[in-house]
Amino acid sequence: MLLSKLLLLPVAVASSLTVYVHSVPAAASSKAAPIPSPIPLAQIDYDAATSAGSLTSYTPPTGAFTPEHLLRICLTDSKSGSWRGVVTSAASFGEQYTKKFTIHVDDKGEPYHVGFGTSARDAGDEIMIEIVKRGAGPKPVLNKPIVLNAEGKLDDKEPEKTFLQKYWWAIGLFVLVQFVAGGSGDK
Amino acid sequence: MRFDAALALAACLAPAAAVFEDDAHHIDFHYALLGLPKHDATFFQKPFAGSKASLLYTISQNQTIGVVNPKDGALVWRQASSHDGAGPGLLRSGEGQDTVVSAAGDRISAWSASDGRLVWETRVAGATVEDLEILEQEDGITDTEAKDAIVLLGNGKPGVKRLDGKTGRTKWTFEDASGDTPFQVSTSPTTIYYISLHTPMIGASKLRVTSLSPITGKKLDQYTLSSDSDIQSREHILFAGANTAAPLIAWTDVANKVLKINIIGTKGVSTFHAPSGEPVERIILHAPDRVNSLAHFLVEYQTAVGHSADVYHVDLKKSTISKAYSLPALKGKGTFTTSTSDANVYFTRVTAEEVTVVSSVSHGVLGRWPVRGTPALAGAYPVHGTSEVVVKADSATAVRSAILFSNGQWSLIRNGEIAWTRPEFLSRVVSAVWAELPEEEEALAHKLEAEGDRNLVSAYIHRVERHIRDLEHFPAWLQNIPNRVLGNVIGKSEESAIEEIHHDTFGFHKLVIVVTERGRLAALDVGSKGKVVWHIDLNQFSPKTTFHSPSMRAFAGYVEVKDASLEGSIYINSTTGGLISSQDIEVRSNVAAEGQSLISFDLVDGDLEGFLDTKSSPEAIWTFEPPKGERIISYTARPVKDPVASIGKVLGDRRVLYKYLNPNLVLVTTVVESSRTASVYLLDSASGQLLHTSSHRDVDVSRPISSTISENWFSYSFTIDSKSATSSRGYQLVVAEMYESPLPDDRGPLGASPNASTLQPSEGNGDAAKPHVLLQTWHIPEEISHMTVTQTRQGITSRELLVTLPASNSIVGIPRQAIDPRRPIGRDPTAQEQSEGLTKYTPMILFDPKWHLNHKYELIGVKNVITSESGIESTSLVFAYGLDIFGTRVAPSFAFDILGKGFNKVQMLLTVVALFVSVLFVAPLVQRKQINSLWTT
Repeated sequence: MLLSKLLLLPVAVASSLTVYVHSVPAAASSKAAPIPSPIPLAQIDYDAATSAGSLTSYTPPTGAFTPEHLLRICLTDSKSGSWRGVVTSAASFGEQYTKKFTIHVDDKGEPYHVGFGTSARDAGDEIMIEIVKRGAGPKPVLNKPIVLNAEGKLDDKEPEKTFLQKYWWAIGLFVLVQFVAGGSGDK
Repeated sequence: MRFDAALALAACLAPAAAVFEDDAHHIDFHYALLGLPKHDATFFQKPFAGSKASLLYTISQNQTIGVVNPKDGALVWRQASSHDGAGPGLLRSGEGQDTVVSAAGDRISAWSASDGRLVWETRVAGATVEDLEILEQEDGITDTEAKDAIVLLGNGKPGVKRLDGKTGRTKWTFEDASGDTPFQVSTSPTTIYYISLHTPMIGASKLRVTSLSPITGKKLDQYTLSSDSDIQSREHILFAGANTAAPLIAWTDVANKVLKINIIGTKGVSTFHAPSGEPVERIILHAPDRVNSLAHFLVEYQTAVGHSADVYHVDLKKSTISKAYSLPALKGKGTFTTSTSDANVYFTRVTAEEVTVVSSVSHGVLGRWPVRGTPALAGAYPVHGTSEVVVKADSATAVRSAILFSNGQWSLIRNGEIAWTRPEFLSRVVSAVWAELPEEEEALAHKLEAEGDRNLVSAYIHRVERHIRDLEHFPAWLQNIPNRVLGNVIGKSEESAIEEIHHDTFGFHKLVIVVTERGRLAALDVGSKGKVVWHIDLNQFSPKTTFHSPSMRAFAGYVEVKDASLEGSIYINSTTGGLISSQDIEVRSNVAAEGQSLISFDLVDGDLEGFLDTKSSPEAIWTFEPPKGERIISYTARPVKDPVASIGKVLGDRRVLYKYLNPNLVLVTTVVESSRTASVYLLDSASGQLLHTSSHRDVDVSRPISSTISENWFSYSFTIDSKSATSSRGYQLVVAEMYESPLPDDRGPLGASPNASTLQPSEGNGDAAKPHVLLQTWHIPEEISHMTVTQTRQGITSRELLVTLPASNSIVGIPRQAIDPRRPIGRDPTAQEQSEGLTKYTPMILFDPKWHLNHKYELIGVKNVITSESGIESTSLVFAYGLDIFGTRVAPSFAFDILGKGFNKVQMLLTVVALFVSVLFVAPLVQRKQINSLWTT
């Protein structure tokens, strides 16, 4: 049992992926494209089973960026060379922000999309990693079936209350009345 | 705020908005359409043997079987084919039968002629039906029982089958293994003729006629007609008179100069020459279709400028054909129809100007009626038709002809009068848009804007000048007032549609421009019961294009039509239907303001990709590719115009849940066939960020998955696989609401900042982009093929989810209240939840009959539903199209800002007058009393 678990262990952990960054090609405007081809941005180890990820390496993009520059943050397919990902402003890589990489993984643990977000940086890490598994869709919440016993009646009838449980208040009242009446009788 | 609360209260009191009885048939309209009828399958027929009146039967080009009452053009019954079957649509009926037999694709069905119920249905797997005939006589004896059908199969398994008329079972099958192309089947009292096109390796095609025994289906004889090299293709073969004493087959040469006719069953070929003069464009044979009628037929010659005809007689004994007489050539287009009465054959000639009836025996005109044209048929000419003639003592006393006109109107001409017209050109609409009329208000806004740039004095002068110029319209406006007031009080005013739209106070009159598969463009006024304002054929603007599924976009004053087979686009004026050249249009760029750039997105090679300012950069700025094996089937974006009145949802304890209102939301639906999984992905189309995902297992991915998105909520529906082992199966509807934060009175990381960007970095604490999504799923009784959401002017009115149910041919408006994902599960709602209008969750949502928008109408083949705001906040306009056309208006929170039909304006006026009069009477009395009281005290 333990052995089998040990054997399964290396399969479960240790997936690694690289997030790349490259800039949006210059449009009609005169802005140049500082990063023409994808360069590695971050190396992330993750475990799809536990939705835990950790950063191995991070190289922030360098160059003369203005906030108008748009950078594409993407995963690349090693086979076809195609990329998939999101776009963000170059200003997002400023030091005052906490950057968060979101890796979307499918049911098999394969990453299929990357997300990128920023928030105000407090004392914590500069980079955060989030692994998001594809959620199962909601199912209708069905009513519980009514189970009948052999006689065709509801099985789990509420247990009958004992005499004391039922009439404790009457006894209490009786005792109280006795006390009060007894007290007045002495006089 | 108080207004909102009042609305919410109204919604809680009666969550089900229904179509009121006095509104039905007034606020809504329905075109129950068939499509253009086919010539050989349109006929008058008595629905059962002893019936007094006959009905008009037809199968249309889109294989819809329809039966129309010839009196008023009302639909008696119809059956739409659920699939686009290959092969021709065929409809036949035997004499004195109470069934009609149809064939479409691989299905042969018999329908009860009077009510359209299915009698039997047979499928021929792996083949298509090429021809269908009813065996009228067998060995010269008419079968009084159900008559058998003879079916010609092609495409895969060529052969002839005889089907039992009562059950549809196969009696015999003749298989043709010669590799010929099946062409036609014809019956005579003793033989069945199977005609095929024999194409040898070398040389031209030949016609091969095989005679079969009707009883056994055995081959009796076979011969090939020596056609030399005349027959080039199927189009040059003419055929007429199946089931008659002398069925004919004819073919022409390429130039339509020589006509060769063969009486089927004989080997002789007679040759006739077309009239010299104008080159003949088309030759059509018209022959009776009754066994016991005279063997006479008519050959129609159509030229570019006119048409003429020759009548021929067949001598059955000698098997010869001789010309009897000619009908004079007439200028203009026309058509001929054949009708029989006992053994006599009559030919009716229908042109746009007159209807004449001649007997097949002599050329004397039996009856002549001038046709009184109607605006609907202006400029159109008859294409084909069918007629019924009443002849008494050698003169035709009455004739009625159901004629298809070239503009797509199907109409009945009764003794020269147009009895009815059905706008069959409207069927199979593939795209529809709400037309945007060039607005005067906009021009005014521009003028006012111009004043802002000037100095005070010149702006003042400009303003005064404008007011003086506006005075020009004042007398006309003043003159119009009595008319309009009267029209308001009494009822309808007489105004043309476009004027109506301009003068429309409530904004119910809106133009919808529709385009059909075949490239016919029409404008309908939704406010005046779908009146066709104009309609044109797009083929006249680009004669070379064959339209497949054109698409449209609306701009102010014009629409742009695009088609895959069309180079560039066609621009059409919205109000007149006239062509606009592209130079006349000031091309307005999209909504992006200055200094901003627009991100657009599209499906490219199965991935969703976003682009920056489409024209300048072809490279994507973000891409979304679903996980391996998944296929994007559709995506829905939030409507461009989606006003939201309140940014939050007020809870029962007066706290607020803030809505996640991102204008760039896109909902992507994907499926995996192998694992029967359907997933939805919610994307932000500006940055490509994935905001929410959910996937469902055991989904029947072959069924439609519809989805829609509006405001801060989206919904989708799918079908659970019937073989799955889940606890519940059937159709499911999922509704999700997005909020900025799960906590009330919390705006999440963004706080109250007025601007937010998914591209620029945010300084908030926490992940700003992600919404908090609440989901709930319900079982629904029926499959949804399409869904959309109502739209109102300000978005104050609660919304309704409009779903199309193909199984019950209806459209249902589900109130948002009923599908609120915050409905408490497994417990009764608390008092606070009740005050919000939440009810306890039930796993099944039943479609309340009151939610049905179509009430008695049967909406067949609805492809899409579009909605638009009206002039008033309470009401949204709805327009559904597909095979049928349906329009209505809905008021999800009731018509709180308009008087209903029940309000009696006359009574109100009378009351005011009565009060005024009584005040006049009472005032002196009161005055006197007051004076008296002053004196006496």
